[in-house]
Amino acid sequence: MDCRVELSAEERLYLTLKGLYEGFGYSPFRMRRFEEYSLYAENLNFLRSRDVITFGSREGRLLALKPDVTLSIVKNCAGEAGLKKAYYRESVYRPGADGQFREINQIGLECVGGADGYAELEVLTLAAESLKAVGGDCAMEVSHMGALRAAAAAFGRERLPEEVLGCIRALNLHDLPAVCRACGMEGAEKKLAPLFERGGSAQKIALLGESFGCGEVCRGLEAALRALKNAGVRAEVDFSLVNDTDYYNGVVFQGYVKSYPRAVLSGGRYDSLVKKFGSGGGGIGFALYPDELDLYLGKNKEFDADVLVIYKAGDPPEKVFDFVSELRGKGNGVYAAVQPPANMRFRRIVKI
Amino acid sequence: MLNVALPKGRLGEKIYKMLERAGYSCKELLDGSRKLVFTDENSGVSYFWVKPSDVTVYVEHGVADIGVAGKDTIDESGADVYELLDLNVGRCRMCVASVNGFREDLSRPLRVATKFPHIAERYFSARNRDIEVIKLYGSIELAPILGLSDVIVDIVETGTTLKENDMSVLEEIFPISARLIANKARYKFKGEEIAACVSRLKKEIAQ
Repeated sequence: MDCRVELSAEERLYLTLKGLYEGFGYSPFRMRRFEEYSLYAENLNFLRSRDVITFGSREGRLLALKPDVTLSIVKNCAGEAGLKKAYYRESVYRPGADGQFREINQIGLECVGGADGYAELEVLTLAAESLKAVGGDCAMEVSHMGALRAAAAAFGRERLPEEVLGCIRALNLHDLPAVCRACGMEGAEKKLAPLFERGGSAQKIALLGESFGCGEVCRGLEAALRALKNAGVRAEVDFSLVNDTDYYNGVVFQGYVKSYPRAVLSGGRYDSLVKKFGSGGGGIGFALYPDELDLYLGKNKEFDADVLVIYKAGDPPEKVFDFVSELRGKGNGVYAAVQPPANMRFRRIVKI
Repeated sequence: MLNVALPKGRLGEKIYKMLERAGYSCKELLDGSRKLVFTDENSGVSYFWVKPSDVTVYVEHGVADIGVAGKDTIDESGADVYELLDLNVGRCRMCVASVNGFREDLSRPLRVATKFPHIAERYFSARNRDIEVIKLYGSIELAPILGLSDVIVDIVETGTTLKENDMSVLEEIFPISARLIANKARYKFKGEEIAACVSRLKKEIAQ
């Protein structure tokens, strides 16, 4: 039977990305809906939210509806030698902006174990291509976790205090002096603030090198920018992009499309996480969140079906079905009923 | 075109005057019309008045590129927005206050009446103090006077209301003023326009 269906924006996007990822040798990764809660309890800082839906199994184990995919893939790769390239389309369960738990669809890929410079270039390129596949004007921001680590080291700390990071994430440079003072880092804002002021990427990288002397970080950022620009995406360095320092150690990035008010893609290099699970080498990956994009990009269908067929209650079912099949054979979508349904629209109405 | 969410009321009108002097005028805005959206093509700006506590919502959802909200509203909402400029107007303080002579009983949770439950939770949890939040929508000062709460967490401007009710500030949590906020995604696409607005407002504040 001919089955003509109109794909949703999310379905079309997934098919495009599936072709893109498989073309670079990534394999689909299907995981269970549940994970042992201990996986998340031991890595709470890696999660976007610490709220996790848990329940007891029949054997008394504490399970969780997975709030994240990367942890499961990295755990799956634990102890395996060599590089594993996987992509996925999975649901995760975590609180939305309103604090209520939601099922969130996520498409992404991970390159785990021995992720080298080439793997980084490949993942950044695929992230840029994924963003372009969403459609419309798009832009990416890129940072490096080594930048803030170097800044913290310059002030004799292992990491910057959370209050200072709060100002950095919000580009709140007016409160930064008082916050630095309260955290025992009086005057630190003089070296920190210029990194977050508006300016070109080259200027920011040069400033980072001059102020904190981290050449490798600067070279990593330059390479990331080159990869994104070669992939045809506008990209800028933005040091206000801060991920968790326990897990992310290298380049981190986010992607935006003009029609959507939040980042739709985020990712980064997480060698520290991979090492924690005992795998060799590093890891890098990203995820795209197409669910809400559908709200913004999806078009409302003008009609629910092409033809509404109205038949009488006493009509023989076979006769009605033959009539519907004939219309279907001509490529129409058909809705057959005795009464016109409420709140539905049709291109035309045919009475038998 | 910059879409700007302004808080309704006297503070919003004061901020519009600042924006007007900075080159973002829109003549219709203060003429008492019941319109909700005001656009001025020449100034390249579109304004809309919203309830002060809703400004962060409009900006976070990208309906407004930028907006002006009090530091109290930004912190209470936890909105993921850029906070680009302290506009130096609407200055006041977020404080813990109670009736004069109040002595805290550390053997039980502190009852805190407030319009700002998240700010109160964060402040006391950073001090490992167990609290019971009593959410109120107005006349917060009444709560400790009538025994509904031990203390309040609220905005203090001059302190006159507290004084007249035999109350005083116990601790200051943070200073408050109006802040220019921006949507993070819009900033990637309208960065030049937003930066120009910030720069003009900075000059206006400096004068």
